[in-house]
This record gives sequence, structure tokens and C-alpha cells, in this order.
Amino acid sequence: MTLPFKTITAVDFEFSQVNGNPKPLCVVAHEIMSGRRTKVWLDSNVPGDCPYGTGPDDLFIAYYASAEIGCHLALGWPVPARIIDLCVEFKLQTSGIEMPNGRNLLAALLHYGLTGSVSVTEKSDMQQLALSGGPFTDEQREQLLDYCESDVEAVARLWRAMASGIDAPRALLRGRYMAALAAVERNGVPVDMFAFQKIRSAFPSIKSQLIATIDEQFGVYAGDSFNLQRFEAYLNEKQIPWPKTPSGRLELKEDTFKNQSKMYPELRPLYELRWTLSNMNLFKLAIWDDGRNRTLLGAFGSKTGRNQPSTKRFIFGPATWVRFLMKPEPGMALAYIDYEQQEFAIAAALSGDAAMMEAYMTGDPYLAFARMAGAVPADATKASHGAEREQFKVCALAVQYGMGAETLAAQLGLQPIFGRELLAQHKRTFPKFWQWIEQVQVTAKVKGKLQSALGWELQVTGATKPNTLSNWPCQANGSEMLRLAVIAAVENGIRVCAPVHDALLIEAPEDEIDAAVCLTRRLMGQASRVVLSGFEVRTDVKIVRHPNRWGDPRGAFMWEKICSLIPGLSQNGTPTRP
Amino acid sequence: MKLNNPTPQLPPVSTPINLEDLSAFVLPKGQESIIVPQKVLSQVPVRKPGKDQWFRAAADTERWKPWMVIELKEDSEMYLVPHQLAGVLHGESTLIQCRLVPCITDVGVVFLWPIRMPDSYGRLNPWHESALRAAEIATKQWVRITANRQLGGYDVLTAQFEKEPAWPNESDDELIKIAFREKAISSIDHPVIRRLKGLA
Repeated sequence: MTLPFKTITAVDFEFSQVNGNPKPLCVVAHEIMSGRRTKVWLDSNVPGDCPYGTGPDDLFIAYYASAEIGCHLALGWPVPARIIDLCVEFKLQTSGIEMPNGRNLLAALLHYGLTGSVSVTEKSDMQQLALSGGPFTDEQREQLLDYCESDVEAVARLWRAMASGIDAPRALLRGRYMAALAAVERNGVPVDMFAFQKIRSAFPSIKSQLIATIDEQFGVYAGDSFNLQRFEAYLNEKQIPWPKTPSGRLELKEDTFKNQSKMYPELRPLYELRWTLSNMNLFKLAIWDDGRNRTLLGAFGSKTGRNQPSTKRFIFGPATWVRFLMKPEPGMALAYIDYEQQEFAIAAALSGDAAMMEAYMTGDPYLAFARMAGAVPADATKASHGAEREQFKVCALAVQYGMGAETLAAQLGLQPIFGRELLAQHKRTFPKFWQWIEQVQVTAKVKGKLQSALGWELQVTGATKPNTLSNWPCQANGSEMLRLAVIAAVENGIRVCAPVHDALLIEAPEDEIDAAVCLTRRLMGQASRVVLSGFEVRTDVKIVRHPNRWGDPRGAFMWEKICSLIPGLSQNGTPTRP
Repeated sequence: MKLNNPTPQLPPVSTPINLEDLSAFVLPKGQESIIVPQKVLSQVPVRKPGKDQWFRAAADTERWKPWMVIELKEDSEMYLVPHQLAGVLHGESTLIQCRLVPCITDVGVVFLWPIRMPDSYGRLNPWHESALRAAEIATKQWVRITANRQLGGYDVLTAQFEKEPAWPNESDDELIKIAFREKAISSIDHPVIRRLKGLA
């Protein structure tokens, strides 16, 4: 077989960490066509040149390549021009399938009936040894090099097993994303270290005070314990409907609180409090001594292809008040640029529903939907018909998640008939969308898979829920467009701190942030046009300049309460004056 | 393996990716493999419109063909009777002549609305006359009807929905076949006729 590459090299690094960034210790490369193998110990101040090809004619293969590319960046080696990440391709081929052994290298080998590199225990021991950072004895160096070599051999074997099923053009695009993501992971998110350290050290001692302060407006705690009867009484008094368990008790899952607090924003502080108390792991946030939050971003971690970073280590994972810790360094600014109503826009474009696209293009698709359904007059605004708009917004979002009429009505605190009527209005207003949803369901069942515009897949099994099928195209294509935006932004010199679901957090010197925002928004718009055949998804931006901090308004109340309870911190998280 | 011809190709990493050039990477719709399901019309109720339903009637009144049916009110059933058997059933009170008006509700349910035709003297019950007028209005607008006993006819409500009815592809003959699939009388030996004649 003739391949259009001069070399195909499987590469693996062992590395320790400095401030969450990889510090390469050794590299082993196996050029598959010639069988040539290179083993280099790198733990010196002179890393030398990259011992394998990285040009357009050289294919670089790795298993979760952002770690390997992170090592390239640390060493000042060029980023390989052509990357195929077998971890990503394995995730694609098994997307939507329950994998009892997970999706690490050993699991992938097992899946293809190949022998493993080393045992799970040996692998863990070697990873711990590398992370210890040394100094290493000659014997330990030899052990690490041997371990690294065994992993490279495993990657090469896996390549031979997987190569025939790989869609190269789009796999290379995904590989390019992994390279961009390595730069993002290396950059990280700037954090206010003063506030973080103050809160971290004082947090256990303010628990009771915090409960008492937040509970003032709810009265649902007895001491430090959440009291179900009091909570039930509170809900009755406020006439807030609440989901119940099959046995009729109030459902107290985190997700339930999260969803309910979206519908009833007054519940947000209670949700944030419960989350904070049950996840006292603020200390597990991967915040390093240089004041940056850096962690692996879990590329292609979900079946929709979206990133799935650890919610404990990534600053966007915990309760929203934690996001107030994000703060640009002196002279710098942060910008959070997100796609506006991304899922609505994608659903409109993919289904080709002209009314839905028209609603999106008005700038307020939910009000436009209410207007098109005849529920509000033509001159209605968000101010004049806020309540109606909210109902149609919830309905539009509910439809995308496949929610039924009764659940929709319960979310709105209405009788089931209103839920049915809202759904009927959606069907009348956007008939082509509904036709498309039906087509997606049928396609999934007949073909056994769904595919996004750039080739990400969902393998459909008997266990795949209908709601997953309905929502997957919007999520998967949203994920595709954000990946393109990340690649383009990084390659155009934008310092991306993090991709966040449908948004990018970027940073730049204060006097350059406006230009950086302008370029990023243009690239995000272009990315949406690629994925949606010319239909553009708008973006919105929020910029903060030092010494202001970035924050999510939903967590503001909790943030201020916590700061006000901590000695040395003012209500907005800055040091109090002596 | 598509690796031996990995086109389209990305620019080298030293050149920032140009998103405007990426359209060749997007899978064609065919590969996105959307299958268009065909809806099979399996049932066509024969009834008057529900009082809470918005509906439209076939605009072409040529389609409102007259048929002979036996209406068994107690069983809420209607049986289609071929014209050649009408003579055998002369005088049978359950035998009626009606138009079967193709209608469709706002959620796409197709049904046939049986509206009685004038009797041999040209007389038409006010209720049936009112139904006929409502059906005529429903050819152009979305309509709801509710019985008004004091009036002796139907109140007709109209609505300005923007959408037009999405009629099925089936022909009128096919609609009739589906509607009366198990309720068509083909001979005088049919159990319904035998029952009416006291022969069962």
C-alpha cells in the first residue's frame, strides 16, 4: 500500500509536571514503515532537536496527543503538521457505547483483541514515578524508557488495527484540534491567588456561618443539616412545583436542584450552597503556584464530542460562584465569547426550517416564536411580554431535549394541558423541524449511527434513548464548530484560556483585547458557517480588564456572602484595607 | 483505508487554518445519511369533527362524493354500501346517502366527515345544512364547530393559522378504502344486512 507520508511515527513521552504543564523526561518514537526506533532521555537543559519528522509529509500518531504536543511545546520542538490521535479515533468508533473498561490505551488494545503494553498496576507505578519528577537513578531512567517504549509499541499495534477504519481528512482535522488544545491547556485560566488561598484556608471554619447566612431567606436548614420537611413547607409557601421520586418524596439530586434553579432563579443560592457543602473539594481545583488553573480538558470526552474536563479540577466545573476567582493579571484582560442560542440556531439550520431560521435571525428567537405562534402581538418586546417569552423559551429548549408535555408543564408550574398546547404551538410554528427530528430518529435506527458535519459519530444501540438521538445532532455540530474556532483562534495567535461548552475564554494585553475579541468573533462566525452550510451563529462577548474579575452573575450572591465571611477579604474578593 | 488518498488536505500547521477553505471537509448530506421516513396512512376515521378540533375540508368540492352508507348508531359504526345494493335496501331507515368530505385537523389527522344529502324531496335537516356550510367555510379557513341546540345547528369558529393543511398523498379512493377497509358491504349476505333483515 502506498501512503502519502514519508514517515508514520508513533510517539510517546513520559513527563513530570511543573505548574500543571508537562515537563518531558523521555521520548520514544517508532517509525512504522522502516521499523526505526528512537529512545531519548530528555531530562537535561539541552533537549536537542526533535528526533523524528514533523513536516507535512510526516504523520505523527499518539494516544491522547495533547500530552505529547504539550511536551513539544515545552521543548520548543515544532508542532507536528499531521497528527492522528488514536484515542480520539477510538472514542469516535465507540461513541455512545458503554465501555466497561473505559477508553484508555489498555482498553483500546483489549477492544481490538491486542495484547496490552503493561499491566494497569505497572502503568500506574510508572506514571507515579515519572510524576515524582526525579532525580532518577540510572535504573529508574531505564525503567521509564522501557515503559515508554512498551506504550509506543502498543500505539503502533493499535494503529495497524485501526488504520483501515480511519477517515483520514477529518481525523487529521481532529488531530489538529488536539494540537491547538495542547496550547490551550498550556495557557490555562488566570486565577486570583490571594482570594483563592484565603477562601481555601478559611472555608471549613465558615461552613456554619455560610449556611446560616444563605438560609436566612429559605429557612430549610436545622443547624447544619438540610431539613426535608422545612424544604417542603418552603416550596408550598412559594408555590414552586418540585419533581418527586417514584416513592413520592421530593427529588434532591444535584441535577434536579440545578434545573429547578434555572426555572426559579430565587433557588440559585440554595443550589449553590448545597453543591458547595457536598463538594468541599475547592482544594481539588487544579490551580498552580503560578496562579493558573490548568488541567487536561477531556477532549472528545462526551458522546457528542464535547470536551469533558474534570468538574473538580477545571474552574468551570464547580458551583458558579467559584468562577469569580478568575481574574486577569495586571495589564491583561479576559474575554468570554459565547455563541448565542447555539442549539436553537443549529436546529434551525440543520432542519432547514425557514420559520425557525427567521426566528433566530430576529435576535430573540424565543420572543419571535411566541409572536409566530400568535401568543404575543407583533410589537411585543422582552419588557412588555417577559412572562410569555419565558414560557416559549422553556418550550423551545425543552423541545431540543425531547422533553414531554407533562414535564414541560411541571417545569413551568402549569397544568399538563398548557404543556401540551405549548408543544402543539411549536409543532405548528416549526413543522419542518419536527419532520427533521423524525428523520433523525429513523436514520439513527436504520443506519445504526448518526454523523455530524465533520464526521463525529454516535453509534446507536438498543440502549440509546430517543431523547439522545433528538439532541445529539445539535450538540455534536455545536461541538464541531467550537473545535474549529479553537483551532483557528490558536493558530491565529489568540491566547485561548479555555473552551467552555459553547464559548471561548481568551486573554490579551488590555490594549489588544478589543482586536483579539474582534478576530475571535469573526473566526467563531466562520466556524459556524462551515458546519452549518453558510448559516452563521451569532456571538456575544463580555470583557473584563484587570483589576476586575470575571464572574457568572448566577453565582454573585454566593460569592459575595462567602467573601464577606472571610477575614481579610472584602465583599468583592479584594484584600480589605488594614 | 482512506489514508492513501487523504483529500481534502489541511494546510501545514505553520500556516493558520483558513476556515473559509474547510467546506470540502464537510460531509455531503448523503453521507450525513438522513433517511426521510414515509408516513403510511393506516387509519381514516369516519366521523364529524371533534368540538375541540381545528380542521380544514378539501377545497375541491368535486371530491365530496356522495356515497350510500348504513349507519348503526348504537354501535357507532358506518358501513359502505355499493349503489347496486341500494335497491335491495329500499326503505331501510339506517341507509343514508351522504357526502364523505375529506378533512384534516391542525395536527394532521385525516378523517372523512359524513354529511347527509337532501332526501328525495330535496329537504335537508337544519343540522346537516349547517354542517355543509361549515365544511364550505373550512375549505378556505381553519374551523371549529360546536353544536348549538337553541340554534338547531353548529356554531362555526374560524382561526387565522398561517400554515396550510398538509394533505396526505393518498387519493380519495384510497382514503375510502382505508376508512372502510373492514366495513364495506359487498353482497346481501353481509352479516349487517342479514341482521337488519332479521335473517341473522
